[in-house]
Amino acid sequence: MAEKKEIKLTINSREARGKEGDTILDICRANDIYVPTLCHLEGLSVVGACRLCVVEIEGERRINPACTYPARDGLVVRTDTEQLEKYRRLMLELIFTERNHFCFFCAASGDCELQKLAYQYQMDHARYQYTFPTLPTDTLNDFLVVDHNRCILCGRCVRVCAEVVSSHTLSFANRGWRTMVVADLNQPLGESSCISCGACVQACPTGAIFSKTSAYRGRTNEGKIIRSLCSLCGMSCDIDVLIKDNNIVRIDGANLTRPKGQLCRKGRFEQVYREAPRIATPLVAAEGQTIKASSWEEAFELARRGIEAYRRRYGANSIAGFASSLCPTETLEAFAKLMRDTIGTSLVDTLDGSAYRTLTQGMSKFSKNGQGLETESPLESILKSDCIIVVGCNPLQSHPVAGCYMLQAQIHDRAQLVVIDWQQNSLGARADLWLRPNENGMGDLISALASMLNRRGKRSKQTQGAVSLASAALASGLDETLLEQAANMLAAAKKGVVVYGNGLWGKKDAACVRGVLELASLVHSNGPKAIALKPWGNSRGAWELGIASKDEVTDAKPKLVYLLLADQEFGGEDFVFRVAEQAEFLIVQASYTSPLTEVADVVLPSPIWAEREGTYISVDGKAGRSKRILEPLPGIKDDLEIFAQMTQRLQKRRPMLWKR
Amino acid sequence: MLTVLRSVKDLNTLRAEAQKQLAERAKKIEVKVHLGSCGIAGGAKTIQEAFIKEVSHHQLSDVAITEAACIGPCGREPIVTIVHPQKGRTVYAEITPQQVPTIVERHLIEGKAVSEWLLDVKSPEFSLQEIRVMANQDMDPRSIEEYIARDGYQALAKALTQMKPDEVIDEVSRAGLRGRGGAGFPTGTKWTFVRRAMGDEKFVVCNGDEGDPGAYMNRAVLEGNPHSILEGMAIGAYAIGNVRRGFAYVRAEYPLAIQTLNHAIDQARQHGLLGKNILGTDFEFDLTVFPGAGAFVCGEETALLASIEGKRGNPRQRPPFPANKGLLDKPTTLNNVETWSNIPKIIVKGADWFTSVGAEKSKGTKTFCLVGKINNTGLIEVPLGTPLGQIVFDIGGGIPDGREFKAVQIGGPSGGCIPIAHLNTSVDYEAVTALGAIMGSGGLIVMDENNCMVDTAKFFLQFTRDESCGKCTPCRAGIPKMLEILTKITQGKGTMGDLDILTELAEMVGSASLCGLGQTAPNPVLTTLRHFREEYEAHIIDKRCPAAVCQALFHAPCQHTCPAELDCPGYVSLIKEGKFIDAYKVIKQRLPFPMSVGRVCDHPCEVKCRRAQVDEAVSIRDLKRIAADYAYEHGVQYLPPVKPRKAERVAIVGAGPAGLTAAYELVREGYGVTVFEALPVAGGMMAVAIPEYRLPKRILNAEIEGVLKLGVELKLNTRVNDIGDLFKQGYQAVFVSCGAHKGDKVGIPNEDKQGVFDAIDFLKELNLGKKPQIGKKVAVVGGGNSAIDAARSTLRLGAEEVHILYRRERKDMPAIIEEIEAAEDEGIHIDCLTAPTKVLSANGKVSGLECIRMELKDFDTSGRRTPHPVAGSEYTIPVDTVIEAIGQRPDVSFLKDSEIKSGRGGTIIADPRTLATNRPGVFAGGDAVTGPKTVIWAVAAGQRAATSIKRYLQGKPLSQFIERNGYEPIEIPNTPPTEEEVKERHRLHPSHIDLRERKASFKEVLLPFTQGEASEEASRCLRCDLEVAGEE
Repeated sequence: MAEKKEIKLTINSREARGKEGDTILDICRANDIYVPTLCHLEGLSVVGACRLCVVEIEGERRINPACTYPARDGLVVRTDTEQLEKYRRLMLELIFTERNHFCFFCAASGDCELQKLAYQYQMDHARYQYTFPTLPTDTLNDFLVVDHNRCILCGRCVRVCAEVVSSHTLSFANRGWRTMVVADLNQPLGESSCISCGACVQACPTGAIFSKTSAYRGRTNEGKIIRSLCSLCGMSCDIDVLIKDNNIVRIDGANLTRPKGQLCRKGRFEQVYREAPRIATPLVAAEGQTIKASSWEEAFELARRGIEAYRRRYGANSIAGFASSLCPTETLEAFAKLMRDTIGTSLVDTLDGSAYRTLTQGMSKFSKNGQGLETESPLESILKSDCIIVVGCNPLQSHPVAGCYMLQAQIHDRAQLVVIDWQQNSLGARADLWLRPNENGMGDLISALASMLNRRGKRSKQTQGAVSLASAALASGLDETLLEQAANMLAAAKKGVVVYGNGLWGKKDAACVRGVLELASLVHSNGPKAIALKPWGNSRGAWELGIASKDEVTDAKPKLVYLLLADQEFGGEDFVFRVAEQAEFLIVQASYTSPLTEVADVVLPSPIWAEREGTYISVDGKAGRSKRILEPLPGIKDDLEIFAQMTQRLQKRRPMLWKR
Repeated sequence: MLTVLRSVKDLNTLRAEAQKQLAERAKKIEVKVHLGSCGIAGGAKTIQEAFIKEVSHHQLSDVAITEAACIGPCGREPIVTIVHPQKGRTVYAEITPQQVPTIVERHLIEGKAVSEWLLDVKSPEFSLQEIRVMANQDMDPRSIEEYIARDGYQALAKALTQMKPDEVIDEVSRAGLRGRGGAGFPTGTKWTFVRRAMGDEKFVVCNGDEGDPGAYMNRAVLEGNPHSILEGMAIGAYAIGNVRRGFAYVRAEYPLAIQTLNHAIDQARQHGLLGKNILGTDFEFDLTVFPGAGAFVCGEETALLASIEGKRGNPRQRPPFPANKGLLDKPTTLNNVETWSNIPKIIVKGADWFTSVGAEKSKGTKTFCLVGKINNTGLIEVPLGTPLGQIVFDIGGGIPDGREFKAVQIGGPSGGCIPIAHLNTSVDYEAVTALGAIMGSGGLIVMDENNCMVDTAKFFLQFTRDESCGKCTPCRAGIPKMLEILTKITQGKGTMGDLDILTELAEMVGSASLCGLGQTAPNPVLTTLRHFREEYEAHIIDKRCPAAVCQALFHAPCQHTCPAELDCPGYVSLIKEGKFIDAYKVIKQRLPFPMSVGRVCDHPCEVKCRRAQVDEAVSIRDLKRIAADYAYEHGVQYLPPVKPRKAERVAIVGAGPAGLTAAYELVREGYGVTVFEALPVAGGMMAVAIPEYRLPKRILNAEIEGVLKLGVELKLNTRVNDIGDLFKQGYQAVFVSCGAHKGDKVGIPNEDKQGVFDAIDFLKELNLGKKPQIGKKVAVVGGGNSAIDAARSTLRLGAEEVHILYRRERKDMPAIIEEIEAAEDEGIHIDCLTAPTKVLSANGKVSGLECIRMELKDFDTSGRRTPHPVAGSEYTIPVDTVIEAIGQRPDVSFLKDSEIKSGRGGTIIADPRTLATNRPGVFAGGDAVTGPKTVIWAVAAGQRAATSIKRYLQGKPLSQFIERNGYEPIEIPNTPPTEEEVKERHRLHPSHIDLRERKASFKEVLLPFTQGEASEEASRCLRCDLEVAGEE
């Protein structure tokens, strides 16, 4: 793109420079000329609603908002006349008297743009009667509170929800003085299409929308903001973490711009603090007794004795190690080294290893080196796509930011969104087409779609056995005409991308993965373009490092199991419980107490995400660094140090400091 | 007939065929039923059915019953036009199904129009209009053939085949057509912008979202002349270039308009006038109707476009303007219905034709909706630049029921109020804007004295508050705040400081709002503040609503309007129950002269009587008289309790109604009161100016007696020459109520001749028992009560021919209407539009009066037309007596040494609320301060003086309110009227004595009600005082 022409303006009798296409506000900001705003927010469209940024422009009959007015070379602008300042003060009075703004009781007090302006304009009282309207407060959402009493109707939440998040949940209802921000058709937020991403909280200039987890826990100016990376799901979103007194107060997105300004409910709210009790000291269980606190020495010794005993008695391969993919790359590597080099076992896996195996099996046909991860598309390809096919997952649940990308492409760039999933799926409800086959009909359905596309003249490199329309319909339980319609939709795609996830490896359905990739190669002229939404923040890192095992480790029936859980939480159905049950001796390294720590022989406390740092590889293979945000709890050792000490004890050598 | 028109030739062939068919039809009698929305609402469908039934009943084969749209007088629907092949066009208005058989028999069969039901189409109401946009309103809007027969689509044909796009724009620019939606932006300029804007797809849009309260001009055109809009838009599309689609955004509340427009679009498509290759050219254009969903703000162009795009109808900030980024971000022209409708005629007839009417910068005609307090409600079309007064009084026929005009609200909620002082305003974009209003789309809401301007401002703010989109702060939050302040004021809780905040807020909202709605919403407030500040002050300072609208400020409108605040509903309801004595007491407590005032009052109370909204006002004055007369006849005289005597003494100068009322009030408070009167009688003008036949002396004297009985000292024949001297005599306070007894001179030659009288001197002489020497032929100059009194008195003194000369029209005469009527009954000639120029004399005596005819021209600041002499119209009337009754002023020569300031017309300057003069302890009131007014105003002044003097003597700050306390409680019935009593029923008028008896003597003319009549009349009272006071 050609460099934009420079323009010169006279603002408050001073020369100010900007680029063609800038608004007056852009130029004021770039030239350090203060203009108050409320409805304006970087990254959102300009609306000129609050009118605080009104300026006088020579030659214009009326005053105009700086935020919408396109700057031109030679304009003469005043931002600071007595009248403008009077109008601004008047408007502040109006805003304050319109609803119930009582800073004393407000979660945003001290962090409120409206309050700040009132101080700035020395608005110590309003000359108008307060209206004192009776307005509701919506607390139904798990994370957010919407207090209409403090809403100034700037529309930042509405715009961020539509333009950045693309959820389009929030909008305005009614008009004039009765205008309200509503979710959907005036549903309570908790019963609406809201995905609780919290972008609106971040966008709100007042305390009208606030977070339940952060309210009243500290103001921005009382703490410190640390830019880091959210390591939870592999979307690797940039985050700004506000800490105060070694506690996380709030997590914001690093920006609120499209396409990458989104965060999700997990990254923004669930990481602020967890209810589960932390493990503060090592724990050991004497024979036949329940587990109890011990010294590090005692715990390390018990672990060492266990490992040596089993290695001696049954050989090194009676010992297996499983690591959580929530751990950064450095930790995973050190764990693998401990297990493989020091202990000598070949039985090392990640807890999401079966997903890895399903995926690589399915991908093998499409890959030169037989692994296939390198064939994956970058996440940005979702935004550039004209047809997004989501198979066997609900990104709005598992990887909400990826879901936002899809909605964004669908709504703003008119891409087709097709969901193929047998389970309940909130993204399916928003899709242009949701194919919901029988539980076991996914594979046939996908093969049938591929066959149909092939018949429509699309050619894939690798063609599987054709599945007839009739048999696919029978297997999937879907109507033939619906399948035809879907095929037509997909056939029109030129830049189609397929996104798939947990539903497929949950069933270990490698064939289905193969089918998905086949389909992907048919919907993109330069395909296949596919992205697997992997289970955890560093799954891809763990898999690329070869920490995940090619074969099923549990088949070897290990007797001693070393679980590196870190701060991962588990459901009762998870594979890890089966592993733990099989083991005769269990070492657990975890941050929180859980049923697993109850049955362990040795428990070693692990730091949580905010207390450690390291490298994470995103879903689409990009490396990023998560920073240490909090000082670890007293007595907590870094995972790397634990491994170093274990190694040292097992090698009976002087401990060597681990090199980072 | 041809359907698809593939060339201009095809169009002309179709035109010829259509004209032939119409000519065929013109051989028959055509009955056009006007079926606009207004007609249908008025019952035109049943009229149409009645005509069909009657015509078929009489088997009239030469009658065609057709349909047409609204032609204007919407207030007089249903309207039927009958076009007779021989007798031409006649229009019937307000016809009922019952009248149809008569019309059919007399007009259709016998050929004689039923003249009494006809609309007078030659009256100024119609003759002053210039019908252009509405020229096709009398054709069938559903017939494209009829439109084509009237040269429809010729403009499109001309533009497409003979003109380049730039030439079309040039023609429109030369015509100076300005946007009829309200802002008045030059249409040609707008088109040029869009033509120059980059883009291979552009749009034209018609704004039919007419949402102003009381405005429906566009609806009539949409319903009546849809093809003109289509044609105009197609021409615009051609001129602008790259336009293939247009949209007409019409509010959904106009179902008939939407239906008609869609029908027209279908017809145009069928005829190839919309679509591809129009009239065989490369030009392609099609049109879609988009119904709006009922938001006023969607009339704003950017909101309208957002609404068409399917978004929330919020305006957005300009720039960028729709000319560059409009519908779907493409360059878009948006014009109002009337603007589009004007285009075809400009193209066919040329810019010069268009500019042949109009004001300097506002060419052509404009349609307006005349609504509100006006006789001729409906739609009009006049050249821009027509004076406002002409629209209101000549075309609109003035204000109903003789009430006084107050203001015109122009431009709807975005506009402003233009007051009576500006009736000469030329209605064009610049002149209207200069007064703080806007032209708007053409709503003219006429308001009279019964409209409260604060309430009016409140009404419009309520509208804009509810219709604001809520996007920008000033409009969303500012309008409710302004409304709150106005509400406070209408509840009597306002302060003068509120007016400053209100102004400040209004200016900010007007300056800082995002779109036209917010920018103009404060206009009703700003213009009423500018032109009617005294009404705001009345609400704030006096806690009075002069129009008796703001309920929170009063119990009943009659009581609120009475200057002395008499408890009208109280005594009327007592009379209804036959409790005459109680009623008398209720009156007497506040008014020392119930019998006199009951006879001569100009009863402002009756003007505001709510009963008038049902039928006619209650006869409040006559009811007061009967109650007081009843007590008098039964020997009952109510004397209020008097407090123990205080030391302070008060001097009152003048024993007129003001002075005696002040004395009445002060003596009851225990003050010593002396009234000094220069004349040999007490009563002031009541005694010396009002003739015996209106107010018998025995009645007045009995009432003065009642005041004196309380202990008031009266010194007759005592002229006060020095106020300071009164203080020396030991009076602590003085009330000057010397009246206005000095008659004004006309200022014509020979006024000093014998036989020329001043009306007041003449009446005074008469009332003091002398018999003024008058001749047989009398001319009285003037139109006020003194003129009538003098004229009627001369008749009784033996004059044979009496003329009242008045320079304006009879409706402008300031005298009480009943008096004017009585004078006419007695045979007095009222020569209006006449002014004397010279007294003719012979031998030092009057021999005649030279007069000149007057004509009324422009409006003066009081809203009356200014009389101008008609040159060469002089004539002489042979009279021997001339009485001049053109006005009075006070004689304040006695004040010359007392430091009390007097002002214009010799009136004493006193605070209008406290009556304090510049000299401490001296108060003044009544005619001496205000100039000539009626008795009840003097009474009120007396009450104010008493309040102020009492407070002054007690060392308290003065109050702007009349303080009333110490009244004996009298139980007032609180039964609301029954349903039967509320039903329409005319007012009872008391009877007069026989006419011959009237002329022969000074015997009282007006008879009292009988007791039965009184109770019956009193039962018409609606008891507004029982309504629960409060807002919303």
